[in-house]
Amino acid sequence: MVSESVESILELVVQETLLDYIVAIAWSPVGNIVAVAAGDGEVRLLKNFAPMSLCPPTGKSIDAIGFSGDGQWLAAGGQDGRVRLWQMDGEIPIVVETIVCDFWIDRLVWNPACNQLAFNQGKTVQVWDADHGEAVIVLESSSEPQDIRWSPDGRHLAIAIQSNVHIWNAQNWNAPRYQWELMSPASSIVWSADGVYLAGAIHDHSVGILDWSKAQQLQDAPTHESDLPMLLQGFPGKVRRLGWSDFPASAALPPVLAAATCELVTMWMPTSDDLESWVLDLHDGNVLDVAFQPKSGLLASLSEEGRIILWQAAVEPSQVLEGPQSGLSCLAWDPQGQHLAAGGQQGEFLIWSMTIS
Amino acid sequence: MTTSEAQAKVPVTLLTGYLGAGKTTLLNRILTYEHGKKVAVIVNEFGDVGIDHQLIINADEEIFEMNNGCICCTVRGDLIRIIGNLMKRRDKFDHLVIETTGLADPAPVIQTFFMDEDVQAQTYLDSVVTVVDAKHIEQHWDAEEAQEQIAFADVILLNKTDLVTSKDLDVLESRIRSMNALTKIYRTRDSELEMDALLGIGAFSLDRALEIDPEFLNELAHEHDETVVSVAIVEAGEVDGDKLNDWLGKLLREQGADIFRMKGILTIAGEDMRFVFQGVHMLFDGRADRPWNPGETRKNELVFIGRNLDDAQLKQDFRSCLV
Repeated sequence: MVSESVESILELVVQETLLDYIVAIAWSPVGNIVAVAAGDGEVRLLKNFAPMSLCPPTGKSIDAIGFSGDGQWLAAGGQDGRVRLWQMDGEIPIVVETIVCDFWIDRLVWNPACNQLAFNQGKTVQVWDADHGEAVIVLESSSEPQDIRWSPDGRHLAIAIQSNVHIWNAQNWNAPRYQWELMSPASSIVWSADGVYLAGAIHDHSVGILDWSKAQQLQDAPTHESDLPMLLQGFPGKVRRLGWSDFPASAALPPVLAAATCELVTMWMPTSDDLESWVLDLHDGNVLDVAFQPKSGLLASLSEEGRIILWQAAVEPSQVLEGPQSGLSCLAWDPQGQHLAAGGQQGEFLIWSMTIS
Repeated sequence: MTTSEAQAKVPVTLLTGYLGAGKTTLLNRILTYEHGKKVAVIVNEFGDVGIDHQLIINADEEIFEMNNGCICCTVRGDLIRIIGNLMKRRDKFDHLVIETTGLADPAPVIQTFFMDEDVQAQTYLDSVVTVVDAKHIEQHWDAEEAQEQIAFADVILLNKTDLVTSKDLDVLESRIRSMNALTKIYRTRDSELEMDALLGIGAFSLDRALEIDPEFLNELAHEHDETVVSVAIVEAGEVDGDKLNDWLGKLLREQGADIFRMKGILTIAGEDMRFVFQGVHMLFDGRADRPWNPGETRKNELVFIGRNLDDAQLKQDFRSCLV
């Protein structure tokens, strides 16, 4: 049960409505700026909670949006096969670049260290330099990339393709890439905040965890058992989302991984000689998204039945945020951990703020 | 599942057949017929479509191997993703048509609708429709894809009937019938067919009655030398549930790769309910559906469609499951 005595952690401050399913939410690393994309192609920006439409509904979805590491650029891509880049320095952001690629774009990520954008383009991944307005490289493959993620230091780019995860050296694209082989394809991959681990949600109801700090030191394929990637099996269903903790460095805690499957969030934490795992079981519908508050142990989990649960230290349920009954779709913390934004399946967009800073 | 949830699911029609057989003409008929409804179309051969339609999506065939415990199967990764993206706009379309190339194996597409939780929760496979070019099928007859497309079909359009003699059609139809005893065969010109025969069929619903073509059962000796055949078993008596389980389990493990589809209605000893089942390769779906009616003759009917099937062995193995 959720304890009654605890004061609310978050309170609702914004309630907006778009016309279609909220597909993606992105916070700018600087200022109080959040962008939200809907299934009908609308992109809306909220600056200090004041809304402004960047892109009207077109009937073709926007499926991925993201701010560059310095907050100077906003990128959005979707069904129409175009990546639009807005420059964020003016009062009103303007589109300064449109990259045309004729493939449905649903993965788009900025290098945290520089203004390079990677996105899926059919069977390739294109890396685009926004500051110079030119392509850096097009990474070819025989299959479509399932997910694309920069390492937190921006030095590597991980791409899940078929039953492999390729890890490229972003400082030397000609260097041989690292190949992590899986039993089945991964639908999504996520780096831990410290860049030590890379986790993959695998289609066969399992989660793989690569210790990248070890793997990148190895010259050859791992031979010793302790060097092999870990495989967490036995999930009751599809693993829909993964989220790593982002504890403050002072906490000196190992990273914790949250995996959303069915109505559950399963937790995993490496300890000195083993691993610990536990299950958070309080949702009534499929859990669609999970995210740790930056620099804290507070975990937010969102389910399709329209509820967000906040878990103190990723263990204790401490607040339930009620969303629309028609269901929620995704959530995102702002980088300072002051606000939590969530989108609904009928276009609802909500922001809660911390009651105490 | 409640009725309203079932109704909210989007029906999916899988359209297969060789290039030039008449798929595009049929697709256009569906789009025109479903006027006022929004139909999303996923195609593999973009250039070929030549139709003006808003929700048309090009997909590159991505085969994913899935190993889930003892079940191994292949699914279409591109469909999981596209359907996932499309279903975020669930109010925006009422029907999904997937058109595959003539060279595609239908199995991964079909298995996607049984293996992926989200695809299964939001859509259902209504039927597999195969368009056969009555004049040119002869050239493709030995190709595995051509045989698979016939073997998996719930509805077959024997198209371009105006280009062949009726005697040739009879031979072709009987040949197709020997391969697939469950499919409905329609002779068409320009893919012209009543939409009721094509849409809303519920071919993968366990509630749908098992319909073995009587002609298939009457044909005493199947004098065809196809590698893909249908085997129908019709027996009176009661089945021992445990024995049946063991037999089907072993059969799917050992011959699942060769069994394209199977369907059946069974009388289980000690049960008042009919047991109905269906399968696609190693995927199996079965349950008790309704009580036998008082006047109804309790029976066992099974149909297997596959490659390298031993008719006599299957029948013998089934009989040994009888009480």
